This record gives sequence, structure tokens and C-alpha cells, in this order.
Amino acid sequence: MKLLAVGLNHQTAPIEVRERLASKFTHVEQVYADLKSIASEATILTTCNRVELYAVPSAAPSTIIDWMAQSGMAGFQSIRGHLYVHQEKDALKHIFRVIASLDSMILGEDQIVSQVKSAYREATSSQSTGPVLNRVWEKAFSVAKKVRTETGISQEGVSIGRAGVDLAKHILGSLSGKKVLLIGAGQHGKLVARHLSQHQLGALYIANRNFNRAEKLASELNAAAIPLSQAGHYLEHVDIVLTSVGGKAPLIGYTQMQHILKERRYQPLICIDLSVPRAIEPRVSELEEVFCFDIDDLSQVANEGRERRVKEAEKAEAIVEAESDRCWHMLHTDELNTQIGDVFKNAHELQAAELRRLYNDLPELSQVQREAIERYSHALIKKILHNPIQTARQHVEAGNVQQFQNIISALSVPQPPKES
Amino acid sequence: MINQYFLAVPILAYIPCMLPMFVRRLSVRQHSLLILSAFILHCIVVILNIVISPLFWLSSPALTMSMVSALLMLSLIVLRLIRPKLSALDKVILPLSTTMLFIATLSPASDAGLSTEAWILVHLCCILLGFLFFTLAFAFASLYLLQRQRLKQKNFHQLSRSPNLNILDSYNYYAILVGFACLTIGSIMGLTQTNGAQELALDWTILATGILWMWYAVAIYSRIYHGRQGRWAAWFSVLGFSTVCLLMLAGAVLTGDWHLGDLP
Repeated sequence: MKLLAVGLNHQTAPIEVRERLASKFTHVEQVYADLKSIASEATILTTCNRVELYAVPSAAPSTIIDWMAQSGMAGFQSIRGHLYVHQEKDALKHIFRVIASLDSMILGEDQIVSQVKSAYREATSSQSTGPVLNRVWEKAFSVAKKVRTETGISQEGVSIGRAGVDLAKHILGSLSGKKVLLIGAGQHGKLVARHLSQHQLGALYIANRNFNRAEKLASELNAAAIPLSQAGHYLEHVDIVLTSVGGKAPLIGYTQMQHILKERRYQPLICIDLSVPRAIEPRVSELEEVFCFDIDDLSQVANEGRERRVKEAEKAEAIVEAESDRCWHMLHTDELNTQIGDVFKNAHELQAAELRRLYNDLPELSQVQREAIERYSHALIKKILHNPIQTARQHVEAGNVQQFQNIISALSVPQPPKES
Repeated sequence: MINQYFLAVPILAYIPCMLPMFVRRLSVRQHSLLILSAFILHCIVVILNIVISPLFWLSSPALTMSMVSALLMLSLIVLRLIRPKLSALDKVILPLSTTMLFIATLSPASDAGLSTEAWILVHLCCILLGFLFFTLAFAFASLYLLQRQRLKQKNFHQLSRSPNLNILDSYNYYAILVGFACLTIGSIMGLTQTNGAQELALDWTILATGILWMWYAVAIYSRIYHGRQGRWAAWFSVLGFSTVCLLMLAGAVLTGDWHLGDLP
């Protein structure tokens, strides 16, 4: 059984080359139509980090590789040097690694599964998939789910923004309905606010010395801009405070926070201070219901997240290895069974043709006699084919696929003669 | 007669369950299966004791404690299924459950009969359910304090192993509410069904129950009317359980009598 994976990614090609190749696949229906002459089944995956073709080739694999390398916008050789090729079981393992996000730029990222599903949908609607790729993708999606549920590869955040969200979730649980106040419009503050705003917050307020900047950022994040002078009042009602300002003196002091906590009736308050120097007095973290984190803490969380993902990736690789072995064996067995089935089918067709000739020659045979002859000839075919088929299977289990093919070819009976 | 030492059998099953918490060689699934096996053995022991002595299961504080321990483990298994991160409760509930079983084995042998009046059965069941939920509240509160300390000390390494603080605080509160309701019903049944107030002699158990009731009433009142939650509520839960609740139950088990001696 043949399976091919050919393409390039962020590790083997710079973005300009990836763009050149991706431009080839802009009109996917036409591309799939062009591929039909060299591949019986195909799926094309195009993302910002990779362009790959997965195919069951009907022509020589080199033909498909050449076709892939011939991008419309640049010379053949400039793409070819960046391509990698996986065949047979390696191609299957590569597919599983890609969908499990083990080959992604950010290990454990969760966008790849939806991207692959989208690519599969396009291939299906172009009638470009078949029994092999359908089976492969079905198995790939279950492998992706297994990797995500049985390992922690996607659980920890790896960016500053995500680290802020994770810390808030460790305290508050769901962020849905929570209120956030962003003071300042610094880069890190905007990053964390952007991540938080994806969680159906109750409200997001933005305060800045420059009110116009606050309004501009508020329109980007679907938030409300407030004057900086009123930020203190909002501290009594929000759940998370982000500060990302420049300035020498702290913006929020210990005494001010003590008073605010009393007004808040001891509800926990999360302060993420991304300013340097810090805008929240460090002593504030000693207060009972205040949890203060600074940029170093978020970096630490992000680094630990990355390390944990690398550790979890080992478990994920083991799952991919085991599942690709199992899937390859299953695909192989399916193909073998199909070939063996064809042998029996041909034999039975020949049996039927010979029996028709016999009945023409001996029309006086009764129905009972005909049924007995049919049973006898059917049993004879089974007995004759049994030993060779068993031997063929044993060759496959021993890894001698060529011997198997030789036996199947020898058993392939000629087409039934045409009736006069 | 109940064989108190028979209650020690589940202890031998629970001790191996605690080892992975420190050695960390088992996967979560393997650890869950180990706990489940020990729990099944525990249930068999409890059921056998009930079958041998059908009415003694409530009259004997030892056997009752064993049942509470079993229900505690059942709660742990159910909670793990609802929220896998609540498997962090293992660190509190497993040692607690094993300690209860150990105390039960120290109880003197009891062959006292039990009145079959329904009110006594309801009274005892409610008190015991109250105790079960206060124990769960203690577990949630302990985990809350541990998780809070990790956040305050910025020990981010183990944060993801426990549920978030909000969940732990909420579960602590709900467990206190249910436990308090059970304790109230059970106490009222006990107080109102004795034959006349003159015959109600104040003993240490009734005094301790009263203190416990007041303690958790203050916790609930403070939460509803003053918003006292989080660390304050957690410490209240931990102290309430570990001082009054556990001592009262241990006293009953070690003396073999639910109602301890009269107050002087």
C-alpha cells in the first residue's frame, strides 16, 4: 500500500518560499482536478507554517514530488531543496505528528486540528479522498484527541498573555462575567488584556493618561475607556487589575488597597503589574485577598509551561508511535484482505461461467443435482485456495510482502471465457 | 459481637494507596484503580459487619466511623469523576479515612442493643451525615489553603494539579451548609424526642454538638452577611473540624458510647 507525504514547513523553508508554494494551492478544486492523474487520493494542507500534500500515488512518487516542486511563481529548484518526503509508514507517522501539534512552531498549539479538518472537508467535497485517506484521517482525529486528553501538551500556556490568563483562572476559575481594569497601554498590558478579552468578560475597562489612546485601544478590544482619575473607583468592582504604565511612583499603594478591600467585602483581587518600575507597591501582595504578579512571574509561568509541554511531548510521541503502528497494520491488513477477496471473487466468477457451460451441455440436470454441483465446486475452490492463501498471510506476517504478491499473482485466475 | 479488629483490614488496603502520593510512580488512572480496589474491600468489610450485627451498625461508634470512612472514600471517588483535578483531595481524605479506621479499631468491643425507634435512626444518620460533610469541608478548606499558599509564594510549579481557589472555596461553603442542615435536623430530633426535658441530662456530647453548631452557624452568617470567604472561611472550617468535630467523634469511639459522661 502506498502513502506519500511531501511538503515544507517553518523548519525547512523561510516564509517567502512557503508563500510561493502556498500560492499554487489558491484554487483547490482545480488543484485536486490536476492531481487526479497522478494520485488516486489526495489532501492538501496549507497553514501559515506548512504546505503539505498527502497522497495515495497512482504514478511514481517522484512524479508527485516534481509536481509539488513546480510552483507557479518561482524556479523549480528553489522549492525542491526545501521539500521533505515521507513514504509508507513514515508518511502516516508524520500525519499523526502534525495533527498532534508535535511538528508545530508552538508545541501543543490547538489550531492545527481545525485546520486539518478544514483541509479534509475541502478534499472530500472535491471527491479527492478515498478508502485509504478516509481511514487515515479518521484515525488521525482520534489520535489528536487521545494526545490532548492523555497528555498535558496543550494545557499550560507558553506566552506572557496566556500565562496571565492561566494565573487568573487558578484563582477565579472561569473568567466569564469577570471584570477587568487595564491601566496604561503598554505592550505587555495590551497582550494580556487581549487574551483575557477572549473569555467573555463581564466588562473590560481601559484607563490611560492619554484618553484618546485609551479610546482607541478600547475600540480594538471591545472595551470601555475611562479617565485615569476614575480608575481608583473601579478598583472596588473589578476582579482583575492590569497595570502597564511608565512612571517612577507606584500608582496603587498599600493604604489605598486596604481601604478598597474593605469596600470589596473581601472578594479576591488579582493584580498583574507589567510595569517596570512596578506600578503597584510590592507590600500590597501581603494583603490577604490580593494576589499580585509581575512580569517576572508571568515569564516564569510561561517558561514552566514550555518545559512541561516538552516533557508531555515525549508521552505524545509514544502515543503517535503506537497508534501509527496500529493504523499501518490495519491499513495493510485491509489491503491484503481486498486482494485476497479479489482472488476468491475471480475464482467464483470462473466457477459461475463454467457451471453455465455445464448446464447448457447437460440441460437434463435437475435442480437438486445443480445445487449439489454448485456446493461441490464451491467447496473445491475453498479447499484449493486455502493453503496458498494461508501461506501468503504467513509471508506477510514475516515481512515478505513480495512473496505475498507473487502468490496472489499466481492465484489470479484468467477472466472467464466469453460465452458463444 | 463485632470484631473490632476486622475493621483494620481496610487500613492495610489504604496504606498502599497513600504511597503514590509521595513516591509518584503510578499514573492517575492506576492510582484511581488502586483506591477503588481498596474502597471495594472496605465496603465488603462494612457490609459483613452489618450482616453479622444488623442493629449494631449505629450503636457501635466504631462501626459507624468505619461507615463514615467508607462514605468519605465514596465521595472522593465521585468527586474525582466529576472533576479530575479534585484527585488532589487524596492527600487529605486518604490519611483522614485511614486515621478514622485506626481509631475505630481502638474502640472497646460493644454488644449494646439499639432501640429500633425511627427517630433514633434518623437522629444518628443525620448526625453522621453532618460529620461526613464537615469532613469534606475540612478537605476542601485544607486544599484551598495549600493552593493559596502556592500562589502567594509564587510556587507555580504545582498549581495545575489542584482545582482553582474559587471552586475550593465554593465547595467548602456548600459542604458546610449541607453538614450544618444535617446536624441541625439530627440535634433537633435528639432534643425533642427524649421523654421530657427533665430526663435530658447534659453530657459532653451534647455540649460539643452545641459548640459545633454555633461554630458553623457563625461561619455561615459571616459569609452571607459580611462576605467572609476565602482564607478566613477555610481556616474556620479546618479549625472547626479538627478541634470540636474530630475530638467529639474520637471520644465516642474510644469510650464505645455515643453519649459521653454527664457534665459535672
